[in-house]
Parts: sequence; structure tokens; C-alpha cells
Amino acid sequence: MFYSIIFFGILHAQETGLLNIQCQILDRKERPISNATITINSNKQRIFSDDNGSFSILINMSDTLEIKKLGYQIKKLPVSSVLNHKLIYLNEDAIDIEEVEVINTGYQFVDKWRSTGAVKRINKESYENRFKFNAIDAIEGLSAGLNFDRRNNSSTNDRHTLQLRGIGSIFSDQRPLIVLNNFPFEGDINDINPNDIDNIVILKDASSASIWGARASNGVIVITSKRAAQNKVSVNFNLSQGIQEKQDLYYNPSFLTSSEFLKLEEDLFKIGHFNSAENNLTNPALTPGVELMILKRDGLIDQNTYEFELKKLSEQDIRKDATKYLYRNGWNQQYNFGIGVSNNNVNSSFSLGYDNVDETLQNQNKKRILFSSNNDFKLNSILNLALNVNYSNRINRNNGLRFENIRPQSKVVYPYASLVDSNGDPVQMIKDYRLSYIGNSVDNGLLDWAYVPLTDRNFTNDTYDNKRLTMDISAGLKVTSDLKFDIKYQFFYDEKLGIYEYEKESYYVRNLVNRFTDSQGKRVFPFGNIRTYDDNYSKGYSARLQVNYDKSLDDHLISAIGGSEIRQYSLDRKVSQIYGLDDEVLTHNIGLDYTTYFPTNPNGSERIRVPESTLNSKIDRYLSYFGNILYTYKSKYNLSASARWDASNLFGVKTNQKGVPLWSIGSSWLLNKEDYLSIYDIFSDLRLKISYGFNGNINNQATAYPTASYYVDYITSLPNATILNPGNPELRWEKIGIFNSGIDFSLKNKRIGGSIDAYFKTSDDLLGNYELDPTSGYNGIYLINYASVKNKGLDVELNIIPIKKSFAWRSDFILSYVKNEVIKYEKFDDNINSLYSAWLYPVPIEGLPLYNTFALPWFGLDNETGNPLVPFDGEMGTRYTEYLNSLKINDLKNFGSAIPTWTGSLRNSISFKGVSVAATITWKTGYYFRRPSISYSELISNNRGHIDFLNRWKSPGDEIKTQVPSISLISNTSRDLVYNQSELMIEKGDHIRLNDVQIIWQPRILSKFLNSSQLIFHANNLGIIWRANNANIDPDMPNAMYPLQKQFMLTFKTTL
Amino acid sequence: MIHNKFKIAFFVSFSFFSSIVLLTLSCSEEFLDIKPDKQMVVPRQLKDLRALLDNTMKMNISMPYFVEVAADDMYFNLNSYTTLTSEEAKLAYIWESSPYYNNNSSTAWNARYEQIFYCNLVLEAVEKYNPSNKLEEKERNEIKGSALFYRAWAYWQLAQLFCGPYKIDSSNTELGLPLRLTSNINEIVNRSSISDTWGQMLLDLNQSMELVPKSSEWKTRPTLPSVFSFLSRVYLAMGEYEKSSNMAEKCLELNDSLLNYANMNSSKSYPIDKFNVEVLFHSVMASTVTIRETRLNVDTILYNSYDQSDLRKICYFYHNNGIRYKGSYNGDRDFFCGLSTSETLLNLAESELRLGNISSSVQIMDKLLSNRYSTNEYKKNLTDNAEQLLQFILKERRKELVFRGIRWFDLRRLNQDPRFSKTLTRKLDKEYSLSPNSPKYVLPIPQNVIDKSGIVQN
Repeated sequence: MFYSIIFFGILHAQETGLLNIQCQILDRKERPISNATITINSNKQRIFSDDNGSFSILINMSDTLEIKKLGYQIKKLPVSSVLNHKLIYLNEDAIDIEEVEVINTGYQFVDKWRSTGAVKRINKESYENRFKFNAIDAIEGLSAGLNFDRRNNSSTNDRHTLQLRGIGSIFSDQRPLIVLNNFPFEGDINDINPNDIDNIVILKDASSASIWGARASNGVIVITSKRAAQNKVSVNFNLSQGIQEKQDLYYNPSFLTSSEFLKLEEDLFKIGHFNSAENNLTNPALTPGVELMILKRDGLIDQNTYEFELKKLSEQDIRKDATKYLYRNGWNQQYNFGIGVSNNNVNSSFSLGYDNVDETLQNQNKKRILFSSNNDFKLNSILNLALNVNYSNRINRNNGLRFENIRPQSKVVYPYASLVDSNGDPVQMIKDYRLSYIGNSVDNGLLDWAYVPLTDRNFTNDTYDNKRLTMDISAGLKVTSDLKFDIKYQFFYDEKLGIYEYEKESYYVRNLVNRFTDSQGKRVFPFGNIRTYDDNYSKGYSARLQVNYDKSLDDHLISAIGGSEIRQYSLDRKVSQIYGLDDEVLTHNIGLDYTTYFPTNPNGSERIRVPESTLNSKIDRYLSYFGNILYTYKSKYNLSASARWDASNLFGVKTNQKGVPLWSIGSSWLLNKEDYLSIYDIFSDLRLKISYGFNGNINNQATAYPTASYYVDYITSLPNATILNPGNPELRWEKIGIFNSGIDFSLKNKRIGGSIDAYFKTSDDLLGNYELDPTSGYNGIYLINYASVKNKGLDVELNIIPIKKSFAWRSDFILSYVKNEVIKYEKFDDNINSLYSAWLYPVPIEGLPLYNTFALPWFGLDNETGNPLVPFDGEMGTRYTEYLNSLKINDLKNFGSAIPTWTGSLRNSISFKGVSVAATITWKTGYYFRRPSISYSELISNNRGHIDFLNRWKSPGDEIKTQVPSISLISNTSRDLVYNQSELMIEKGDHIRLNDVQIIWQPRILSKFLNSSQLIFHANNLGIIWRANNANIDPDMPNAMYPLQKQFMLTFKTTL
Repeated sequence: MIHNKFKIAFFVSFSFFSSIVLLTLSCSEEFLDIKPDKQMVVPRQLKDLRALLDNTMKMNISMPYFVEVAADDMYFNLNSYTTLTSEEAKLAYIWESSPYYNNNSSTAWNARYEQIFYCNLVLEAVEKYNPSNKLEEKERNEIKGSALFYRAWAYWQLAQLFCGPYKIDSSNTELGLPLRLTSNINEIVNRSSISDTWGQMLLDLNQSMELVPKSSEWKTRPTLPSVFSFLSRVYLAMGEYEKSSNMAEKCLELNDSLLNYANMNSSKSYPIDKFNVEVLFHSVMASTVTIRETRLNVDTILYNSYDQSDLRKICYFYHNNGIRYKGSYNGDRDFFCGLSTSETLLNLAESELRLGNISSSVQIMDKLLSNRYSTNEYKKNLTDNAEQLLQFILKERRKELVFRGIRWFDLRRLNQDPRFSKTLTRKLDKEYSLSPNSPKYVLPIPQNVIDKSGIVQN
């Protein structure tokens, strides 16, 4: 938007003692506010501002003015302050229906009433009030069509996968493109200062997103940084402190109590399960329980001692020690400081942020420094320059020991293990070898072979230091009032330096040294630190040339852009590992013999593993031409069209196939502007929209020519090459057609607003796995363009302000429906087991959702043995393997989508006298997940238990009460599969969650000194209010070891 | 004035803009031609083709080990057998052609056809390459010769498992391997006859003979002696003794070095070095726990057949809960299955004898065995009875080439002669046996191959 600020001087009316002042009232976006009521305090005289927002008045110097306008906060100010400022700004009423006038697509600013597509701007207030560590996390539940997929997560802080309007690709990227300040953002989302964001816009359909061309198929999220407010100096400061509760280790049902576990070990011992391990020359570690049983069997301890010791073990619970010694309540600190300076010619803002997060895992810490400076210079009436600099530095220390990573015997930790002795001192735990074997290692000339988990974590060091610098330089040249040229250039440099180190004192090093010590006591493997460097350097640039044409002629309004863009992104990775490092003098071992098999302790022979060493260098280049025309007739009818051509250096693609042309068209009709439709008069906006077009997607794995990758041959040390891909000469880019139709509306009284959008997305030419005859010589995934996926859905948003007095209530309602279906894909009958066991990665089947839930049918338990029954050869029995091998897809039970088909949220905020409370409730329905249960082979071979073990079939008759099969002391994975992948495990995912709550207080006392200040209490992850499953599992992350951890923060925000 | 300013600004910006557009357009081809990943190449240069063939993992290592699991030099005790993780190996051990293949693929099949794909890719690229000088031409020829050799090597490995032994009378009718000779992965190739399969091996090797170098620094690369040695093996398997003898002689003319076992330190965990002087072409079976020395027992009768003064008895074997093997020419626990001078000598001795040249045959055996016994312990008192001598040579052949991937093909070819036919047995929870010339000597083709290509199952 272009506007010019007109302001008027002040004329002194010296004769009367009164001043004649002329002022202009503006909103925060510099738009004049007309018809505002100006009341003079002394005589209650009222006047109104004109169309320019201006007014003039004769007034005494000591008087005060009160300015009122619907939709804005009331402002009182002394006349003296107006003398210098001449401009009066009104703040928008915080709880108004947000009527965003202008949308930034990353290429241009479009008036929202002219848009023809599905565009969502995140409600600023909701976003601002949330506590956020990164920009994207804080938009959950604030936009329709957006799903945070956490099925992969095992804990609260794991990354989610973002899905916008379903899933439009099978093997290519399924995440939306993130654009920061006009250019695609390739870095870590944590490098963006979440407190420095002015607005976030989500482009969902073809007409809004196709300007992003080949990367827009999953939608685009456009993030714009804050700019300084006009004509003033502002300073703001945020301070947050908070805690995150420690992990609840008792949540995980895959655990067996110590006494039950010991009973199981006794049973296994009786049938000689441990005999082979006991007699094995490799001396594998045995649990303390089994060692006791051996002592008793060999008559080395009597029954009483045995029972006493066993009882002692059964009273221990590793979860108790782990909770106390591995975890803690996390502490988050966030500080953000910003200054904005602006006048007519310069607009500069600086911000500095600092975060320190002591994670809930001890020894685990994240630090972050963020700096940004955004500067716009208006050199003269035709030339603008801008220079933005962003710098971030993140340092992560990941030296904690997770409960699930203790892993003695390379298995899940046995439940009665302990980390400390009765005095609270760290204590040894079994690891790889029997204690009897490693007990006298020092006497035998070896290093101490003991594994003490709590001390050992101090001898590993896993840190990384990530620095990122981004610079934007742009120039705008206004040639005529209609024509403008833009040149934008962005450069970034990112380095992530990781160090992973095992110090010489660590078990890892000592174990290697001991294993490779020969019978004469000579150490083949060096006794020193093992350090691995993992250095990643990425850099890139983007340059854009763009011409903007805006012309208004009578009833016609044309906005057109066109231009070209080049982008380069490169990544260099260097991994190197050093053995035998002495950190004090930096000596290390080179020239170890990696080819000879050395005899190892306790037995066998092995080669020394070659130290890791990797060099990668990747470069992506893109070239694009784009154009967009928006035509408006009589401010009622909008027509949009865009086209874009993208090309890249995608590997081996023939040049004439490198490019892909993409286009879109759209139109919208403003019903409220039609005079003959006077019933729509109550609407300030009532707009019907329709659009259609194509967006693209990129996959770097597929190539047209056979490609090979170089390595160093481990036998000859000569360079060798491995074929990565046999090449597919017919390769094309993926293309997604999107049809969107909807309505945007808002009432004139600004009490109700919202939008409804329906869409169809058809992804054709998707790359799909094609299984080749192995005789062809290629056994890997062969990707060809042949698959199709369809998404159809509905996005509804409704914003209501039922009460708007001194007590105010605002309610935002979001509902999304999406149905995802594979239309074309080659069927793999022989991969039937991947259908019922996998649900995290897509198993495409025609006619079903990409992520679908299958299960084996359940036939109950045998009434004599408690074995699960399966039909084979016409009779019920226990021929599990044959049964599983004979399965066809029709034999499986199909439940449906593994991804929510209905999602929604309800955010309510109420405010009264400077205090407001906001809370978001989210829900997801229409999907299924698989809960874990007891797997006896997992229990016996990997110590992984499950509380369902307690309900297992024990004696005939139990099959009426329980469906949990009887114990099988002989590992039988097929039997476990029949139960664990059965329909019994499938649960409905439906649930309602209290996502977040904020209490905001604007203390009046402080407003005397500070322009505005707020104290906000945030609470996140408050838990599930209702869920359809009875297993007490969070359906969003059914494999998580812990429930989502609650987080409580206190933020103080102030503006000077 | 202002108007002028606009004009200038317009002109400057327009020319700037258009020049940049032109610039990006003109260099777009180059701009987009950069390799997205430095490690990745489209293999076209000689360097790339050489690197593909130098991929020892694909070309030399991971040869099928079923030839040992199914042969009679070893046995598993019941416990070792039941704890085997590879179902495929379990079935191969008891010669069961089984439903297992209904659901699965076979690495033995896949890995060798992958090797063939590499070779075909190289052979096609090498034809398109125009060498710019003599040196390049030499390199190009060597690469071509090597690719032909490696392809023949892969077909040989497959032919031992997935089709019947070569027989002069039935080779035209019995089904051989699908012969893939192009890198087009979409091409469906039907099974050839056994004579075509062997014919292709001979064709490749005879062509290779003209191209490979006389020697190489790397034993993983084919050389002229290794081509000759390989040909003598192929001809021996085909019963063409004259050609076999001829090839063996040509090989030994170039290289007849032998290890003297008297100089060997038999106390080492693996007494025989990798890349030793006897090795002509280095190739190793897949490294697998299935045939790890701790699991695999050496056939007792075989072990007892070595004389006390035969150094192979202590260099090849040791005792640890039974008789274990440590004599791999790979210098470690993985089984060597490449070409060697010792094998070539044995090929020559047998062929010569079968051609009636008893004395020459005796001489060759003396040469080999005098290097296998403690100094002065070997007595040159070989019989000149042809029949007995043949028996002796075949026995020595088994003893010398134990666990080198030779026994299985010897069983298959010798079974055709009633004098040497043998029934193999396995004792587990019950007894299994494999009668001579049984169809079980041929493994079924993996079901996924049958499903995808529709070729005929064995």
C-alpha cells in the first residue's frame, strides 16, 4: 500500500490564549481514521475527524483530549503532547475481529478483499500471547487445515511433521514451504526469532501459492519480520521464565515390575534359557537375578540368602533412580530486547534475543542468541533501499543419559537395575560381559571394565554450535506512480559444528581398548579419547528481479508483477573421527591397522573399525520466471492469473525436462458491494472465491541417467563407485492440481467473521516405488512417475465476539476435514506384513488413505494353552508362520486413516479490566492408532515388558476374561505378531486436548511509566481432556515413552 | 526537470533489468548443469567406469556361499543348525527346494545380477567413449576386458546354483540362465539354454583375453593369467580337457608361483596371507555368520584323509570343540573363492591325465605337493596306474581346494561319471540325503523373479 502522510503545522492563536491545533489520527498501519470522536475534556465539546483522519480545534494548552473510535482503544492525551507530535495513533482494540487488509505473499502485498484464494493470516493477538520457542510451534490450532503430525515422536520436544490440507506426495517432501522475508527459508526454524515476527500468512490454494511454483504443492507459510512503528522511537522488552515438568517415567506401559520380571527370569532359568549364554565363550552379561540363580544352583549360596537377595532386588525400581538422577524439572529463560526508530525516511529496528533452556534431562542444555536488524531507507521519492541482517547462534549440549539409552546387555534395562547404591553413590551396572569375567580385568593387565552409568555420562560429550547469518539487500525503484522495479538479494551462511566425544575414561573407550588388548597385554587399540567432528557448512543466495505495475483507471484496477529469480543452496559436510586423542597435547593415533583381524577379548577376532570419515558436497540451483496479474473491476469482481516456470539442476534430468511450467487462475466476487443485494448490507466483506491451478514438488532422489557415487574401496583403497540409481529417462516433476472454492465474510459491526473453503487436490505424476525384477540388476527403490493421490477437504473458520463491553469475550472456532486417498499405485501382495506392521511410513494402496491402519483379525485364545488361534488349512491352530505367509490383503481388517480426518480448535478469550484469559482446546477425530502390548519374544530377548503381561492367560477359563496370550518362554515372533498386530490393538484416535492457556494482566500502575506493559502467564500441554481409548495413551504419539510434559511460563512484556 | 529524472531512472533500471534477464537466460543452461552432489556422477568417463569395476564389494566379494553349505566338506551339529538365522541357508543345507522362495528374494541371485548390470553399463559406456590418446585407448581396452571377465565370473557363480551342470548331450535343451547383455533395466529376458549360458561365458572370456593386461598391481582386477585360469576351470567343467589343459598351461607360463607351506607359520590364527603369490584373481564369499568357523564343522573323513606330514592339516585346520577351518586365502575368516595357481595346476594335472599324459600329470602333482609337505617329507612315489592316479588327483583336488567354492561344482560334474558319483547325507533330527544327479542340485529361482519376469521355474 502506498500512502503519503499529510500533516499540518500548528498555528498559534496568540490573541486568545487558545491554540489552534491541527492533527491527524492514524492507525498503527498509518491509515487515517475518519469519523473518530474527539472530546475536549474541559467543556465536553465533541468534533469528528474528516476523511483524512484530520481535525482542527481551538483549545487551551492545559486541556486534554479524549479520542474514541469503534474498534480502537480509547486514547486520552494532554494537548501539550499533541503540540510536538501532530500525529495521533490509535491502537486497535485487542479483541476485534482481525480484519487484515493486506496480505504478503512473499512477492507482493495484496489487499485481502482482492484475493481469490484461500489465505489465512494467523491471528496476531493469539500468536503474540503464546509462549514460543520457535515460530511454527505457536501456530498450532490457529489455522484450519494445518495438522501437526507427531506419530513419530517419543517425547515432548521431538520435531513434528507439518501437514497442510492432507498429504499430496508419497516419497517427496510433504511439508509446506516456509518463506521468511520474501525468500524460502532453508534453515532450522529455531534460527528465526519468534518474538520478532510481525505476521504469519498461510497460502493454501493454487491461486495464492502457485507464485511459489515448483515448491508450493504442500502450501506456503509466509513469515514477515517486525518493522519499527512509524515516526517514533520505541523500545520493547520481553522477559520470560518458566518450567517444564520432568518426564513421567511411570506413564510408559511397556514396563514390567521388578518382582514379575524376577519371577520370569526364574522360569526362564528353570528351562535352561540362560545356559547357552552362561557357557558362551563371549561371556555375555547376565542380570544380577540370573547370577543369583546360578550361585544358588551351584550351591554357593543357600536358599535363605538367595531369597533375601532376590527380595532386595525385587524392591528396586529403575524408574525411581532414573527419575531422580537422570531427569529434573526444566527451566526456560527467554529475553528479548527491541528498539525501533523511524521517521519519514528511515525505518530501523534492532532486536536481540537470548534463550537458555535447561532441559528436563540432566546435563542437557540449549542456548540461543538471536540478533536482527531491519532497515528501510527512503532515499528520495523514487528510490528505496533496505538492508536486513539476521544472526543466530545456537549451542546445544546433549550430554544427558536418557532412560531408554541405559541399555545394559544392549537390551532394555531390566526393571530392578539401580543407578546408585544405598548411600546415593553411582553404582556399577552390567553392560556387555559377565561381572565374573570383567571383575579381575585390572589384575589381568586390562583397564577397569566396569560400566557406571551415572559417571559414564560425564565422559561423553555431545555438543553442537550452530551459527547462521542472513543478509538481505533490496532496492525499490519507483519509475512512475504505477511502475516499480524491485531488486532483492539474499545471502546466508550457516555453519553447524558438532563434536561427539568419548573420553578415555568412558566405558566405550575402555571396552574397545580391553577388547583389543592381546595376551601379552599390548594395546592394539589406543587408549585415548575418541572424538568425532561433524561439520556442516551451508550457504546460499537468492536474487530476484521484479517489476510491479499498479494502475487504477476508472472502474479498473490492475496489479501485475513479473520477474525472474535465481537461487543457489549448497551444503558441505565433513565428518572425521580421531582415535587415541590426548586432549591436553592434541596428539592422536594415525596409521592403525584396519585390515587385520586381531584376536579380541573375551574371544574371537575382529578388525578395528575404520574411523568415520565423510565428505559431502551438494548444491541445488533453481531458476524461475514468474508473473501474476490481479484485475479488479468496479471494486466488485476480481480475476487473478499466475504463471511460473521453474528449472533446477536436478540430477541427470535432460535440460529440456528440467523446467516445469505451472499456472493458476482465480476469481472472486464481493457480494456486499452489489447494490441490488441489499440484504448483504450488514457485511463489511462477503466474498465468493474460486480458483484452480497447479503447484509442483521436487524430489532429489530420482534421476534420469544412471548415477553413481564415489567411495573409497575398503579392500584396495582405490576409489570405487556404486550405482545409486539406474536412471529413469522419463522422469518428470510432481504436479498437484488444486481446486478451491469458498466464501470469506465479516459483519460490519465486526462481531462475526470467518471463512469456509472447500478444496480438491489431485496429485498426478507422483513418484512411486516400483519394484523391478531383481534380474535387472537393480534391487533398490526405483522411482517412476505413475502414482496418484487425491485429497478433498473443507476448512471452516469462525470468529465471534459475543460480548464487547468492558467485559469482552472472543471466540475463534476452526474445523477442518480432509480425506486422503491413493488413486493409483502398484500393489505389492508380497509385502503384506508391511501393511499391518507399519503405520509411520506410507504403504500406498489404491482406494485407501496413504497412511492407513490395517490389523490382523483376532480369533481368540485356545482354551487349553492360551495360545492365540489362527486359521490355516481349514482349521484353527497355531501354525503362525504359515498363516502369516498365506495372508492376502483381503484377510486384513481395514480400520481407516492413521491421520486425523477431522481436526479443529476452539480458542476463547475473555477480558475484563485489563485482565484477560485465553485458552485453546484442540480436537482430532476420525483416525486410528495401534497401541503396544506384551510381546513375549521382545520380553525374553530384549527385556521389554508391558503391563498387559499381568492380565495374560494363565489357566483354562482365562480366555473368557482376557485376550492376552499365555506366556511363551520360547521366542516365537510370529505368535507375538498375531497378537500385537491384531485388531485388539487398534484404538480410535479421537481426543480433545487443552492445548494452552494464557492469563494476561495489563497492570495500570505501570502504565504511568511505561507505554504499555503486560504480564502473561502461559501454560502449555495441559493434557488430554477426553480420549476415546481406554489405554490412557496419547493418540498423537502412541509410542511416546512419556506423556507431553506440561510447561508453565511467566512473561513480562513492556514497551517504552 | 523531474520528468528528465524519471526518464533517466527508467532507462537505467530498464536496461539493468533486461540485461540481467538476458544474462540469466543465456547462462541458464550452464547455471543448471552443475552437479547437485559432488560424490555423484553419471558414469561416462573412463575414471568412473574403472571405479565401478573397482567396487570390490560388487565384483569380488559376497559371492554365494551356498556352494559350501550344500557341499560335503562341512556339517552343522543340530544346535548350530537350529540357531541358523538364514532360512535360505537352512534349506540349502538339507537340499530342500522349498516354499521359502514363495515369499522372498535371494541375495545370491540379486547380487550377481547386480554385478552383471554394472558390467553391462560399463560395456555400453566404453563403446561410446572415444579415447583421445594411446594411453586412454589402453585403459579403455583394459576396462572393457575386465567388464567381460567380471560378467563371466557372475554367470559362473549363478550357473553353479540356478541351473544344472553342463552336459554335452542335454545342454541345448536344459534351461540355463537369463542372459542379460544390456543395462536396460526394463528389458525382460527369458531363460537361455545351458549351452547358451556357457557359450556366453566362453565368449566373454575369449574376448577378455585380448584386452586385459598381463599383470596388475591389484589382485582384485582381472589379468591375462586369471582369464586363462578361469577358462581352464570352465573347460574342465565342460569336460573339454584338451582346452582346459591348454588354458592352464598358458596361465602357468605367465605365473606358476606356489607357496611353500614349510615356510608357513601354522600357529597364526589365519596362517595364509591375503593376496599371496598363488592368488591370480581375488574373490571371496559373502561374509556371513552361517559359515563362521565357530559354527562350521569340517567333515571328519576329509580331515583324516590328510597325512600327518601334510602341512595343510595344520595350516588349514585347528581343533576347538571339533575341527575348524582357518586356511582361507583371504587371510581371515571369510572364505576365498577366487582363482589360484594351485587350482590351475590341479586342472592341468586332471586334464593331462584324462588326455592320457600320465607322466606330465605326475610331474605336476609332484610340483604341487612338494610344496605342501614338510621339507623332505613328501615322497615322490605316485602310481602310474591311470585309474588310481585319477582317483588320487581328485582326492588331492578336494583336499587342496577345500572351502574354495570348488567342491560343489566338482560334485556336480563328477556325479555324471558313475565311478565318482556320491550320495551326500545330513544328520540332524532326521537324516537327509542327496543322490547323484538329483534335481536338488539346482536351486529354485527366487519367486519374486518368477513373479516379475514370468520366466520358467526350475
